[in-house]
Amino acid sequence: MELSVILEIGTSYTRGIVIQPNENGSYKIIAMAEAVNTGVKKSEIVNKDNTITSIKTALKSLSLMCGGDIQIRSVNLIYSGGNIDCEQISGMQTLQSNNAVIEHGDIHNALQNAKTTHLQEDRFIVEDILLDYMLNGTQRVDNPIGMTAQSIHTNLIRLHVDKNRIENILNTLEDCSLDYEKVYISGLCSALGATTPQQREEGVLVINFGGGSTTWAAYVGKNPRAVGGIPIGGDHITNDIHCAFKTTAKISETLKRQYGSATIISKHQLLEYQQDFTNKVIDQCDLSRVINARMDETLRIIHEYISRDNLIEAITNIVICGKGALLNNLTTLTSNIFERPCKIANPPLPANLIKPGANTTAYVPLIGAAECCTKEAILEERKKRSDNKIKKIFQKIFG
Amino acid sequence: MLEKFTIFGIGGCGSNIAYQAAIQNQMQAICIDTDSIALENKEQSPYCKTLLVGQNRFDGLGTGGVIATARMTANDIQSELRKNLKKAETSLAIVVTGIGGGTGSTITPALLQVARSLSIPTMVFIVFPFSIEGSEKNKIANTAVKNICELADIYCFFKNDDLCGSLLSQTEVSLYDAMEESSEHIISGITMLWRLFKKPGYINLDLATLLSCTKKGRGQFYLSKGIAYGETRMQEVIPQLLSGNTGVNVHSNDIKHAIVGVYGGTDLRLNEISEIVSCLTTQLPQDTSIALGTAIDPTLDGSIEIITLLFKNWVEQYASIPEATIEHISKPTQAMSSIGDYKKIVTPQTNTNSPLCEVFRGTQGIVYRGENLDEPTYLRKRIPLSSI
Ligand SMILES: Nc1nc2c(ncn2[C@@H]2O[C@H](COP(=O)(O)OP(=O)(O)O)[C@@H](O)[C@H]2O)c(=O)[nH]1
Ligand SMILES: [Mg+2]
Repeated sequence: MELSVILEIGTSYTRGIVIQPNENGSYKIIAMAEAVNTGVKKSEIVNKDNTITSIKTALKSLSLMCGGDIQIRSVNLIYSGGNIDCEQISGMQTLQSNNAVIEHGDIHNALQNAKTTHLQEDRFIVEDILLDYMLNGTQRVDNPIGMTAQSIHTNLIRLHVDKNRIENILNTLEDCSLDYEKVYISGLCSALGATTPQQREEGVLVINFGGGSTTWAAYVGKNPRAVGGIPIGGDHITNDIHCAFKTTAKISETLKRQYGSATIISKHQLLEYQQDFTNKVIDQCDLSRVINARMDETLRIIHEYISRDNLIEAITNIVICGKGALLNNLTTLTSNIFERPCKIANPPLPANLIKPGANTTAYVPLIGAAECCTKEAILEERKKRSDNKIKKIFQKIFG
Repeated sequence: MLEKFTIFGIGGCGSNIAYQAAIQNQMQAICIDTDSIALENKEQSPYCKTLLVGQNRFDGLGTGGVIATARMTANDIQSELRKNLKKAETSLAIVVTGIGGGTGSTITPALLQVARSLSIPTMVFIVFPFSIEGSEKNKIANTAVKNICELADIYCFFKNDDLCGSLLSQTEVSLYDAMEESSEHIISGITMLWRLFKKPGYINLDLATLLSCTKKGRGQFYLSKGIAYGETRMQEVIPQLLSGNTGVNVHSNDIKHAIVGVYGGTDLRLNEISEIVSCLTTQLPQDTSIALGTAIDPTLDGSIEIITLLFKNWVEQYASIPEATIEHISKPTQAMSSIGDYKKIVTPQTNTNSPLCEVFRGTQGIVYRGENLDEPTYLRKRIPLSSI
């Protein structure tokens, strides 16, 4: 089967992987690359040239890792911007005669009716995901073909994002002479990459803490129930520290990673650092207060979002991922706010790609997207084959 | 600088109390209600302005406790509230509201949100229903209080149960009487507070001090008071202050700062003031800071009145950033997007107006509950930092 390339244009890095999908639904990562990106802030492109450079650098590494003989022409894009939102939409189709048997055409019509649901002009639809069907407005079913009813409803979840921002990214890809195959939403991929089907069945919320934005998805059963994202991320913590202690961006970043804590450290402990050739100190307790304020706020916004439609009741576990998830005590804070157990996703990656023992949480969305791409590739392959079959039959008949 | 304060009364309870407090103190009141009859008598007063809201949904008859519709009203009238708040040109909004009913519970958060977006500090008095009014009311009150506290700068609880619950066990006392009695407590509290900051004394507390409390004391405060006359006034006033029926426990160890106002006639003696201060110093937790003010009014000869505001949070300084910069926390512009309401996104505007988030210059700002999320949370939430 053909190789697939997955690209995530993040705030500090462009990350990409190349995968080889297999017929049995598994896949192999054959290349993986990272390139510094200074053209993106809060997951928005603010400097196109720098972003193009970063994408090109990442693609070049990928191509080299694949033996240098592949030409990457199209990619699957992971969108991790803020302002990701979703809503439930539904469509109805009444059947011709009372209590008729439901056929493919009826389902198709009900789906089309749902998809005509209006969306504000400044939003861009990434995907409409089918949740389930409803017969006669009451009875929920997974597969209605062959059942009898008077009407059929389709329920979908529509994922949409800010139109300007995604178009900026897609235009940038075009400037790199790249096509895009599909756009994947960071939160959704993170959920797929960080959890098992069993965990999703039981109800799980996965939060990806990126540098420029935080994205999430809640799964209950087989389907996502809420997908969202805000343009607030690790860079905000760094800026908060900079404002509080007048530290340079670099020192703020180091303080955050090494001594920062998402929960408040009550013990006063002085941390020394050098800035402008003088020794300075800050209190670790203060540092933790500054960080805690930010993380507490961010998590409560997500909590509020998930509490729409009482979804929170159905969640049994929280999984966090992304580089920002490595902040000390973030699992504790998350667990306290959501009153659910919380852990960091650290999925295994092939030893030839990453140092053994190294943390893989930043790659979670790429892994989730790889699973999706593999499924797509298999569907594509089957379609191709059945097309071929039909072609052969035609050839037999008509010579 | 001329400070102008306005008292806002919301719903039946809030309007009654605000109206009476305004008349007693000749201050400006704005009463907001969904009930036209409740507002009728109030519009006569030169000190009171009334604002009937939600007519399209409730016909001026009150909410009848229909919370869902009341919430929609709160949403409908945002711009009306904004207009009135702007027009009032007030330096501080003192908000009085009774929660548990429909109007106070829903319109108050909306008003506070608008105040915050206009950077008008708020001081909120929240009246809780009697527990005998039923679990439904108390449930509504519990939700409302959360929404209100999140948006108020400083707030104080008054529980009808604590103030006058005992009255209700007397057979001849009706719920109405008990509420009136309870209101009296609150009105006199506001009156004393007002006098303390308005009238000159030996030691002045001015309105700017009150204003700074909304920043330094952000969060909950308690109000406790005592009033006594004649020879034995000192023996009587102190116990009232310490264990007054306002539900305040002066001994509780969560008090960080106390403002003490002593108010009397020309016969107020210095040794009386010092007795009060030393008594409070021993009763309050050791590291509580105390600010004292006095006010003298010849008509009060013979009596003494004391009011204390006890703050659970207190920070003299919020961070290394000077106070002037804090005011820089920018007011949300329309062009920023609000979370959860993407319909409101207007064309993206660049985020250049705040020195507190210089690094995000060029990106679109994001506003949540009237706050620009790009700016440091610890500054917006006034989190105290010890070492600075
Ligand atoms: N102390 C006092 N409490 C009141 C008064 N009026 C109402 N309350 C309380 O406030 C709660 C809300 O009532 P109200 O303000 O009439 O409801 P609203 O007009 O729909 O906001 C009631 O459950 C009462 O406990 C009053 O005049 N004084
Ligand atoms: Mg009423």
